[in-house]
Amino acid sequence: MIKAHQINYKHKDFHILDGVDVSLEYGEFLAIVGPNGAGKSSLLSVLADEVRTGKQKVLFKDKPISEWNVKELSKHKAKFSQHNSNDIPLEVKDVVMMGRYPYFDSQPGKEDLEAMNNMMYETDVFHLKDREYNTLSGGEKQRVHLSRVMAQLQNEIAHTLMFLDEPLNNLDIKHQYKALDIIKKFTQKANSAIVVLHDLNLAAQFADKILLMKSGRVSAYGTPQEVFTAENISDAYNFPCTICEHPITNNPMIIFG
Amino acid sequence: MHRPRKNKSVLMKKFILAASVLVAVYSCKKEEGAKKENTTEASSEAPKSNNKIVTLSGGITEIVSALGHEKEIVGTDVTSTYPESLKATAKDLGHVRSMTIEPIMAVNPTLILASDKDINPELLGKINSSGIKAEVFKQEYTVDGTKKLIEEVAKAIGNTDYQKLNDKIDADLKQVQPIAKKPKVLFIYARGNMLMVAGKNTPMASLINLAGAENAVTEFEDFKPLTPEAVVKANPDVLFFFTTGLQGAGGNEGALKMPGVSQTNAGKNKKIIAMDGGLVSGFGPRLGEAAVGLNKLLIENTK
Amino acid sequence: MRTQSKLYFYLTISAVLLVIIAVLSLNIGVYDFGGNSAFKVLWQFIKGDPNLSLSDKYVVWDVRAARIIMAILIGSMLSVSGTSLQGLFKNPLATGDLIGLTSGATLLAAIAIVLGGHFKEYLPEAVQFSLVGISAFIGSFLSMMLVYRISTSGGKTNVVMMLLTGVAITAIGFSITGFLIYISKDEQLRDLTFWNLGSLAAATWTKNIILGVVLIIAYIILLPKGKAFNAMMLGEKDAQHLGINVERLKKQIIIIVALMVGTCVAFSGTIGFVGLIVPYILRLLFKSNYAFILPLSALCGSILLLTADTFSRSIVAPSELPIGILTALMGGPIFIAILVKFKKAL
Repeated sequence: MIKAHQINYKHKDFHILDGVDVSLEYGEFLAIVGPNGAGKSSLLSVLADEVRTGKQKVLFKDKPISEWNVKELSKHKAKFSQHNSNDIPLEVKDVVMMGRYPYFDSQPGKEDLEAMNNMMYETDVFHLKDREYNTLSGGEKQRVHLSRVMAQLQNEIAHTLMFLDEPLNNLDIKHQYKALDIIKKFTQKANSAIVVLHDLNLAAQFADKILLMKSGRVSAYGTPQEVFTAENISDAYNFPCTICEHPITNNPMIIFG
Repeated sequence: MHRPRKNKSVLMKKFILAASVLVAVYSCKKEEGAKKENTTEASSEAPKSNNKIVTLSGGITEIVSALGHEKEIVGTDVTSTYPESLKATAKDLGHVRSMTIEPIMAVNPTLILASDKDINPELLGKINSSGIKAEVFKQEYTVDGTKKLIEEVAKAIGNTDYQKLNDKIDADLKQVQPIAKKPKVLFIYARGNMLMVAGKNTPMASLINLAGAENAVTEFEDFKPLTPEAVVKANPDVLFFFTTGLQGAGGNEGALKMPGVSQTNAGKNKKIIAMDGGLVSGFGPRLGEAAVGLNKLLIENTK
Repeated sequence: MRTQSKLYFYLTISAVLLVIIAVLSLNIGVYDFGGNSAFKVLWQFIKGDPNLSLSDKYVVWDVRAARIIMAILIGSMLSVSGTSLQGLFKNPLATGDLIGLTSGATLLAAIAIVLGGHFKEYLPEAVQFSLVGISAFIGSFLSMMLVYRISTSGGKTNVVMMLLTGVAITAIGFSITGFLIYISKDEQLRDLTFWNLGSLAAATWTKNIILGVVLIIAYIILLPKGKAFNAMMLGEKDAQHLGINVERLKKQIIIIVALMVGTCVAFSGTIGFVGLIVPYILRLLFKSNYAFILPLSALCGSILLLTADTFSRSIVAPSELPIGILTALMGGPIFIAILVKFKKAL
């Protein structure tokens, strides 16, 4: 679905990203993990075509992403940003409806209202729909944007891609699991998701593939079993850790310290 | 959550409704008022002929009055202060710089006479497209210029009897006495905190010359803000004001306090004179009178 | 479905209100139509009644009607400019006058008049006006570029920089324009009062036609962009992800607003605060939903300016209160209200 080869992203002389290769198939849930400053958000930005690094091209569905028509592209990919605006003087439902902007000109159609309502239910913000966005708590705002991004990709197109940059910030445990559940279900319908996560255990539990980053480079890539070794993790995070097997799911369980 | 919003929009609608009702009542009242005005005017004055003239400059107003057509003037500008009887019969339409066309048309003139000086070009444009006969005169601030103006205005109102006005000016001017020591006169325009002096090519400079004196300012033209250096350099023997201007500036004491004045001959000798504004700047039929008046004041103040 | 019909509902109410005020305004003025109402006279004019006196016709058509239409056109454009700028800068204080666009426009218009004074006799009126209008457009465009470059980075606006740049541009414009007026004997330059406080007294149908053309061009491009403005509130990157071509939108806003502001300033001088007052009041009703406030500001701006102009020429009749005074009277308190709201948010 999306391929990027040897991405280099420099700021003055500092390599934010250094020779990164990424490749994602349909139906894959890829989690990008790593310590702060590893370049996770930057990599996501490059893949989502928010920044152009010049020489290297990102191929989305076998076509350079820069050559896609902006409006068409918005029906194939959506992005959840890490820092969402704190001041949007609108009602919650108007914010979520923005996710459907690629699909209507001036007046939302039935499918748009349906998508909006469904996604608000999924992220548990439907009861807030008439509230003013600015009066919500941080976690509630986060969920509103989540439902917006998901509403954006509720369509008939076969394979869509969702980018999510730290979507679990400010969410309580129940909503964290709910969000990851929705993303997982999304990828099980032959769609893909690239998610930047901080919690390694959640990544291990939900993701199909892991990209472990350190200092702008790919430190390890593969399934959670392959990537989450004590060696890889303590090397990347510069902190000792132990791996054991999760008692119920058999996924790797990472314990720091 | 819904209620506050509903109240606001209902409030808005009520406000809009109230506002439009107010405007409606207001405009009805205006029309009534205007109608009342017109009827009272019609009953108090029966004009000699059917001409209704609007004169937009002091000088032009005086010429038209002097030619005997005072009763035909229905509207003047704010500088037309002479003859005083006009206050009762003609409407003051304001200053030509900020006047609009509607008040002029409201007095239903058959002829509009204006001077090119100071008039707002947009107003001029509107006057020209109004379909009402209008004449704009170029006013030159010299004796010949004034005589020419008198002739042109007379022609515009269809009067051929203007010679006596020109003769009167000549006769008055003959009464100007030469002054032994030709004094330097500085005209100061004082209005509120604004002080300006008259340079070359102003009506005041012209009048000063006619009265047998010299304009103290020789370096620049037109009116410029008063600066102490300019005043001291000019070193006038006499300070010249409009009567209203001098009053507003605090009389003679106020004048003596103006920047730079105390260093001048006029300031040291306390020679300050004032004349009526309309008389000085009109440059109409009373030009000769104005010159003689100024001449007399100067003779008194240079003894 | 609901939202669209709600929009149409409010648009209709506003349009009706505008027509009512226009008719009322037509009937206000010192000229007496000999017992008839001005509206009746206008009707006679439209029907081509030969008995109509030339003066009546002139006052009703070339004086009052022209002025009313100009107030409607300029009020609408100033208001839409304000709303659009607020969408671009994501701040309710962004308006043409506060960020210096009108000062820039005034400056170049004054320069154009001084230079054009030499060719005045050779050019037809429409061309003269257009040249001044074009210069004003360039002036407001350059100011806009300056403010944008200085106050935005990475799509985020530094509000303080935006307003301060406006202050700087206004100061420079004021001094140079004042200097030009001071040294120039050209009556076309009028005096500072016109440029600083504005006036609709010089309305003519030629000017109205030019204004109308600019309005139509601008609105065809801008008014459907309500959705896009909403998306911009998420941030420029997220708006792009939603399929909005952000760079193109920004360019369009900059050019079209500069065009509208420039043309209005060229013909009426600086009339401030319209772009502040109208969006503020609309936001109280519709929050910042540009799908609503953008089209509505087009109508409400006309209502505001027409009302203000009617007051300005009737309160101190036969003289006129400069219209900028009335709009500032309404705008000042609203400016303070916005600042107080900001303070609370901090």
